[in-house]
Amino acid sequence: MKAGFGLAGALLAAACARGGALEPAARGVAPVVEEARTWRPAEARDLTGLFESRAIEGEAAGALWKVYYHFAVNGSYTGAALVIGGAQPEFQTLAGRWTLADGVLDLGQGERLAARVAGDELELESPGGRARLVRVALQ
Amino acid sequence: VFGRSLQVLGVLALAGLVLGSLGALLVVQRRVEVTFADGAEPARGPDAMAELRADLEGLRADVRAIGIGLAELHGALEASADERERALRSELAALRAQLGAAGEPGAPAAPPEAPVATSEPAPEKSFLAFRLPSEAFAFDRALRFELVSSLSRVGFDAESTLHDFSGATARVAGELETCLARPEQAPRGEIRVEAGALATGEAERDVEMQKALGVAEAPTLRFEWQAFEAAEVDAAAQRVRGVARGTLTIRGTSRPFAMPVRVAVDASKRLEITGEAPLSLAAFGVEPPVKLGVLSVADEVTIWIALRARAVGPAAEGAR
Repeated sequence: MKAGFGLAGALLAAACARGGALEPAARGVAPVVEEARTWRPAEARDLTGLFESRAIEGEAAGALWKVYYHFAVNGSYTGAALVIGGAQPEFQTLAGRWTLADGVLDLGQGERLAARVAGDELELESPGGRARLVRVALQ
Repeated sequence: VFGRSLQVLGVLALAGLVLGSLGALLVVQRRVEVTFADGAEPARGPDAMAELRADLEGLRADVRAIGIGLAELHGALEASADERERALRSELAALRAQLGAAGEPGAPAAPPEAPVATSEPAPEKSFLAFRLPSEAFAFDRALRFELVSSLSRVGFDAESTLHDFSGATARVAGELETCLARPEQAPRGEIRVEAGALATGEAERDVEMQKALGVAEAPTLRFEWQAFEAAEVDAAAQRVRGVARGTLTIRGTSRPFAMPVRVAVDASKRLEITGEAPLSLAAFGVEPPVKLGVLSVADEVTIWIALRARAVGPAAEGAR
């Protein structure tokens, strides 16, 4: 009998400690919110290396799952993107030469991208969308 | 062309052998000499008849060899023709498959071995120098979506004698097929939840809940989406509201289930699906946990979903 009251008491205590249902607004899992960063226009030395996308927004996000870029010091670049829209997602690759002037990246395809950096992150933006990439260490 | 050349060569060879045979007969004719002598004179030189027989035997052997050669040539020509026919049939099937993929009405399906183009024929947009299919995500296009598990959660709100509480899990997976502009048109999909992963924030309560849900025997909660009643379709705002209907399976028991839901499109072109609906545990054979005859959970709970799904390609033919 004493044990029963003890268990009821423990449950009551637990109930008091953990009571309450989730608010509807707290049910979902929000995408990672990027902390406020101080962005500056990218310079050529900021771009060299390998980058991987963390988030893609805008119209392009409907077709691009993931993007990888490697910018070489000699001005060449190569990229790969997982593109959807066909029967199955498929990787698309490209290569060319890049130039950067006044924070505007030209990949030689007639598309001018605003390039900004903050730490190891690179943000590329055009009217088609915005991609947030992060530098990846070669392993 | 190859087959025709072989035929011509065969005929020429046959003609040459026939001419050769005639020439040999002429030679033999010249070598036959008829002499008249009295029987007392002894025979001189080789036997002409024996030589003639030997020549005839040789000719017979040549003719047999020609026959065998012609038979082999015929076989080779037949094999070549069969191979060519197979190649032409394969090319024809591939062409039909391409026509079918381009929307040719009545075109037969591609045979399994025929290569099929997998990419969109004419990409129009570009981003980061990549060519993008023009209709990868479109509100008015029937698409196949996959749940993004890392951004999805399902759960329930329950009332107990002491307080209300919630249980939830992100162990959720599934696929949906629909056209957002016409959600009532052949929607389908399935959402699967790992029952054992539901957590209420209290370990002892979780154990009781798993027992009540029969997790050991039925580890997966499943909702099969079969119909949609649209209350609002706003293409400009990219929003849909309505009731999703289907079959819910809990603890191996399946019952019709309906849930009012809202669908929106986020900045990354993912579907954001939210909704909730009441559910009777008893209807699915789930006994609400009771402790000490005093602490009990109400039979009716509220099931809720907060899902995100990403388009992965065009829907199957039935959902278009």
